[in-house]
Amino acid sequence: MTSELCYLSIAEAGRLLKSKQLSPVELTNAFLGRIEKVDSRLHSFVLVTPEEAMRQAKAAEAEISFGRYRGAMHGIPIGLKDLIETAGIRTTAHSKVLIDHIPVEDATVVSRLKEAGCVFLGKLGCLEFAHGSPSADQAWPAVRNPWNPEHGFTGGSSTGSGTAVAAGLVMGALGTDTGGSIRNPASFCGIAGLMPTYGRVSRRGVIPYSFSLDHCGPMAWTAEDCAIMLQTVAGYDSDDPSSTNLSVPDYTASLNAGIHGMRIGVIRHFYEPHLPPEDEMRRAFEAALQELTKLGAVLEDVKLRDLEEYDDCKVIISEAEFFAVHEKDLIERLEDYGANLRFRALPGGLIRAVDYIQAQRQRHKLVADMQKKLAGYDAMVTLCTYGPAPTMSAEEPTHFFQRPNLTAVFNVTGNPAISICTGFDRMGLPLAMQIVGKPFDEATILRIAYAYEQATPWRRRRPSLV
Amino acid sequence: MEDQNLQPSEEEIVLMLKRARVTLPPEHLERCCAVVARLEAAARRLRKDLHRNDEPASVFLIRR
Repeated sequence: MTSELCYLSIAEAGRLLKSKQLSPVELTNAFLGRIEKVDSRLHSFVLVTPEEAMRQAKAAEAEISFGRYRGAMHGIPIGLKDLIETAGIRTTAHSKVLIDHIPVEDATVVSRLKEAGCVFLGKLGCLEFAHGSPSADQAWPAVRNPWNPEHGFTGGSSTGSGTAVAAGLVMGALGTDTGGSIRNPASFCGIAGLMPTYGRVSRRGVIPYSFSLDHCGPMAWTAEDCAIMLQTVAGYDSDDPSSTNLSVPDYTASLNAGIHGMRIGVIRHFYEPHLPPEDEMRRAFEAALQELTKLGAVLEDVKLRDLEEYDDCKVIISEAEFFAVHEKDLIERLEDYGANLRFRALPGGLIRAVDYIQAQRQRHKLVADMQKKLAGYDAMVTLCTYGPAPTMSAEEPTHFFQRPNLTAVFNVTGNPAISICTGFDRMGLPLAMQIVGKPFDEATILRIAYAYEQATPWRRRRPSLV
Repeated sequence: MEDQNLQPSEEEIVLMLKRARVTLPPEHLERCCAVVARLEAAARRLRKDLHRNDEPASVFLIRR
């Protein structure tokens, strides 16, 4: 029964909670039990907060039983990437640098989830400051991929969020995304991960990696669950200078409307012919395109700028901004950073001011070009990663710089993008694609993702862990 | 060829980091140099096709 409860979607659990067929306390107990049973193999949590979770679950139960149901996230157990600040609860960014950091305030997204009545199970591991990669000198072991716990890499940087959702240890999680850190682990873990438009979700209280590229967004088993979570956290925040003051639509209202007649641009030239993806990933993508066509969408190839142009722009901006954020600590306590972050972070201090500005000038043009191209379509689709999750041992820490990233394109331009599962390879590892939308049109990409998930069997398979 | 000659040497990278007040542990030198080379190449490519009036992106990345 425990795993049945833990494998409910947020939408399903919400209906049961609302109708009082399921109690938040029972649900939270099921998750806490499963975390205890399973997470010693996966290491997705850096901190479990059972007392806090039970207190919130009991409060939710009391409110719902008195008829004060707050909405679709009320009583839902979730986790937070440990880059997101929580008042009175340690927030480390998975780094020894912040090992004793206990914030005094919640991030805005945490406040909004609390107002919605969520139950917080704890803090989820990530790559150090969302930028490092696993190394033996870190305070916590590397998060493992639930589809291959012995060897599988979870991607990055929202590693714990991806693993915990796929393994049924949380119903949903918040991640952050500066170059693919929501979509990449979503792809490797076979879940849905949504990077909202830049400015749509507040980053106040989210420890920065790169101010002008950072996004915060939901990770969950289904696109529908991402829509429900986005509804809770989206909206203007006067305390975040990048926040955009636009009304938030009802993201679930149009999920069921289908995609008949939608025009979808297909981006293949990012990887073909010079950066060929693994064959099973490419074939799953082509099959997904056929499925979208069957659902009534009209697909055509679209050509954007070369992938390298976005990637160059992204690395100069993100490395310079990362160094700016960390300059004091890199100078005074370099040894507290993991070995694989040190050599990555230091060169950011050598980027000239003029090169940073040229990158931002190029970016302005890339943003304008992207919006012009997207004007002719409802959305675009492309691969999310070149292949399924690699093994931990194959994860060379410099690979980050060796092949242009397929996800960072949309951090540079600020467009919303969602990664969804497109099947499994012969080893049982998840495959994925990303769907990209117009600025502030998360509703359309959620609708496409939902239609695809409903038409395919991939949401019915979970990793076998116990 | 000219571009390659502009790549800083290992000694220059160590010196530049010292100027940035950072001490590079010797075991990180090789990988650090690989990252510097990647950043240098990116910065070089980004200079092309910029015109006098091209403005940088702002914190409000997307205008409505």
